[in-house]
Amino acid sequence: MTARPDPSAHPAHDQLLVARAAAGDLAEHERVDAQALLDACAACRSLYLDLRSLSASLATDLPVPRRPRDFRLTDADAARLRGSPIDRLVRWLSGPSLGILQPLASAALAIGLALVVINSLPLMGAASGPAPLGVATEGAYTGTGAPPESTSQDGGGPASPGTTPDRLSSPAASPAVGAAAPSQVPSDASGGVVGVAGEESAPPAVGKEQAAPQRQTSPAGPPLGLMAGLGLIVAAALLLTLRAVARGRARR
Amino acid sequence: MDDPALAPDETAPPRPADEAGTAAATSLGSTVELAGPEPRHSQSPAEMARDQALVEAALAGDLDAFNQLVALYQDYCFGLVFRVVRDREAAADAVQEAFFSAYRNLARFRGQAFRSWLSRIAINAATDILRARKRRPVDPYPEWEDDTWQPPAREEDDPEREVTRRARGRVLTEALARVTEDQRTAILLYDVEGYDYQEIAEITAVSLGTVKSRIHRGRLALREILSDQLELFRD
Repeated sequence: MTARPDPSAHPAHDQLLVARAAAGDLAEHERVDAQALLDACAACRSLYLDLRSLSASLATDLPVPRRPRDFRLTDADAARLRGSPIDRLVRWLSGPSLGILQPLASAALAIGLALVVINSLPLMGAASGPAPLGVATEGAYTGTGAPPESTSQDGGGPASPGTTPDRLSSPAASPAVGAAAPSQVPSDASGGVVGVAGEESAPPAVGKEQAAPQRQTSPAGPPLGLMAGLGLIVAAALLLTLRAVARGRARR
Repeated sequence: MDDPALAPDETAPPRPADEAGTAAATSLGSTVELAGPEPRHSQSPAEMARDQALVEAALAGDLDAFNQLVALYQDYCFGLVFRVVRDREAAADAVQEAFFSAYRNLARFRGQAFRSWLSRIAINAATDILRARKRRPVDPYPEWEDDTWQPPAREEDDPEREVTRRARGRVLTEALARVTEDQRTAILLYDVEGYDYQEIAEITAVSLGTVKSRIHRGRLALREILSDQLELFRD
């Protein structure tokens, strides 16, 4: 139930409601309030009628400004506005026809990043390979207290326990640890280390036996997936940048 | 509401518009019937189809087709921009720039009403001009006696009514110059050009609520400015 407005309190009445009523811009429940206001307050009624009159007068009574010149384009204007091929390319890039580009480029960016991350994992594993190798090898000796039997085929006896740890601690001194020159170490078909004839018998390199297959499976260059991911990222970033630049230029 | 500071000031003297209006409203009776939504006059489908055909021809390289569009809308565009910027030369420059921009970006037109699309470009050009001259106020309007103005398209048969119309047009134009730019643009687009709220929101790139607020508050401001001359508008 809407309270009847006090007709003596017109300054406090909702003039915006009256203005909206004059424009026919009220919801049904607001029309009840507005009608009550107009029925009770003569000043609101006057406001309503004045706003209707002003609106009608604006539509019909305003003089029309006289146009000072003709705005049609000349051939020279058109040629200048069409611009160079670069300008047209910029307009095409910034146009709505390439609106699909942004989501596509974003998707490509996401896929590229995923490819890069996924394909980086084996590389990171290989890069951190030597550290576990050293630990594992060292553990093989220190854990047993004595070096295990050599697997060399020349029948060399066990190496001196006093010298072996020193050799193992220096990758440069020991081919068993030195991952840098695997090709210098003959290996059998199973990847096991084969002793070199005439050489001092090396202790069995347990760590090396584990690490060698890893190095064999790591490709020489970046994997194809990584390259594809990087390519996608670069292409998407390039397209997004070009479109952003083109849109900025078009706005100017 | 016990706080006296928040209570309505009933002792305040009534404003002239209220005083005269109350008498007018009383004389009209104690009730008014609420009107429905005001009719809008948007472009007809035939006009939109015609414009679309001209746009397609222009995109195919036909400059004459584009110039037909210019010929169709240059009076409308100049009227709109001039009423916003209130400077003849600046308005002409803005309109020329708007048509240049429309030609450059014609490929971006996507089949909506061409008049609305062009209005948006023209309003943007007008806004740029207003922004550029914020520090340099201009005279409200050129002299009424020069050739800046022409009467509204519809001529009155009755000379007395024609005089009234000219007087109304003059005071309305001057009053429009005194409301805010945003309110003026919204009122011009709604009351003068007949766009609906949604179209105005798209043209001026603001929300629907903001458009309505600008129109309603702008009309209230106009009524306040014209408080001494409202009899001119009361039949």
